[in-house]
Amino acid sequence: MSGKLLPNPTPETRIYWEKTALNELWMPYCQTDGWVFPPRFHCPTCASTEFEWRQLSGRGTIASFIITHRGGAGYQDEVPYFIILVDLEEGPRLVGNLYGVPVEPTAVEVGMPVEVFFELRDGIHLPQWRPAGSKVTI
Amino acid sequence: MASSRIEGDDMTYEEIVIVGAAESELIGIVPDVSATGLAIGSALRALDDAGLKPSDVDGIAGTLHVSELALQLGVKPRYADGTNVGGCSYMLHVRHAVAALRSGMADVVVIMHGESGRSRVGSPPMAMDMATASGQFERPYGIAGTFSMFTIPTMAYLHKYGLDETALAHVSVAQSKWAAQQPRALRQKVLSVEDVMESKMISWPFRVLECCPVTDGGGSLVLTTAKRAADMDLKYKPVVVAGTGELVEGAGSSFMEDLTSFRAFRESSAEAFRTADMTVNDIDHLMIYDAYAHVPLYGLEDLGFVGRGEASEFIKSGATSPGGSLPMNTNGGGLMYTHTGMYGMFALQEGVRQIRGTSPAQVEGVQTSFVQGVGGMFGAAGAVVLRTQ
Repeated sequence: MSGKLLPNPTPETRIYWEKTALNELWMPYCQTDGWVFPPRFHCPTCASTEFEWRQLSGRGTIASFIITHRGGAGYQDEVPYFIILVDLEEGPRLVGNLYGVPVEPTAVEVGMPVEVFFELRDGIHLPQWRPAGSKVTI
Repeated sequence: MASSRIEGDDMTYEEIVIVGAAESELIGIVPDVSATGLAIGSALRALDDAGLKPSDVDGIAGTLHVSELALQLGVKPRYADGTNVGGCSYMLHVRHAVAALRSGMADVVVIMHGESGRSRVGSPPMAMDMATASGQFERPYGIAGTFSMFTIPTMAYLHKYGLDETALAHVSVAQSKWAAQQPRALRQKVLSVEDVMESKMISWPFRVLECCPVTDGGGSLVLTTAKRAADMDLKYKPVVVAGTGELVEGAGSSFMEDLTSFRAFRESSAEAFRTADMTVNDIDHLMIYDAYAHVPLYGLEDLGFVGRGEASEFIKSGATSPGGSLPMNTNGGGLMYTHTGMYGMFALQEGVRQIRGTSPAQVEGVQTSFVQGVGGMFGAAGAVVLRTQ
């Protein structure tokens, strides 16, 4: 066990986590109102339950970031590290860590292109991020 | 006394007033009082402002278990509000209490806060629900505390307006000048930008002096109708709750619609201004909940006191400091005064003190105070407008 926190998937998010286990990023999509995130059984705009799951490109840009000097559970030996917000090409926003760059403020900027990869953590595959074109994994 | 009824859109409303307001005897580091004890202690002090006893109370509100608070205080309330949306919950309690008092659901409401944030005396263990949206999509990524989650949108804000890290430092510098006048403030030293920038890095771009300390403390408010207050033996003139607003936006900072502006600030403040029939030009004194130094920047802009991207320059100019045109966070704020975890009650307490004329950092001639709270890391907001009667 890594000691890091694990998401506790619910029926609403089951497909999301089943797809990450295949190294793919999928979210529910409403024909009328677009992406629905976090995943749920209805569209929060039109209340439709007739939507489908679609795959996302896994490409996006850094919307914001911090470099934390205090580690969360299981992260204590990794400080300092990035926690970033990624605006996906398709619109939804995800949180993650950034790998493959020096951990310093000048190494990144808002708007920098990133791409997803997946961290296997105690049986769950979590979306994580690296600069677009990087081959870094953890 | 003024009329006990005020004009509304198409009807008149009973005027609701604060007749008791007090913090716990001790705040800061209080290792020998429980969270509930801090709440009850402050409630008894607040009731004493109005010459009231627990037996006079028929409504209570708080973020601790309200049934436990009722038992410990010694009341059997016919109105109980356990709303908990984070640190601004007390602003929502005020708003709900106004409605309850106007509709006759209660005659005397006590709103209580007690939190042993630092010493953790009589406090439940902090547990995280990893099945929530935040638990599944934010928390797994090494979020050690609010300092590495509430702060994340800040770089989007600074980038948008071409600002650097010192934009945050100026917030702490301005508020330290108020804290120096507050004997109960945990951090009382007047700070320079260099002091702040050289303080320990917590979560870049945030240094420790741009992050709230974690403390112990309690605070309570007693609300009733102006009509009832007229018959009470009060230590201080009643403080009128002139307007209120609230908005629950959602799960937290990564789910904000716009990383550079907080919808719940915009809408709760607009509702408070509307119900108070006031604009920013009518406000003498301002409190904006500041768990971290970026929050007053968002607040000044979202409430409409300054234009987009102008808050940092406004603070740097001295406008919010002692002697400035818009005194803000005159207790030193959550950053300097105290921050138990759910700070909103302390912002309300300073708003009341300024209207009463009893703050150690008293501003001359304050007749209106706008108190804006945030809850749950950009998850919810509550606003309260206070004025003299």
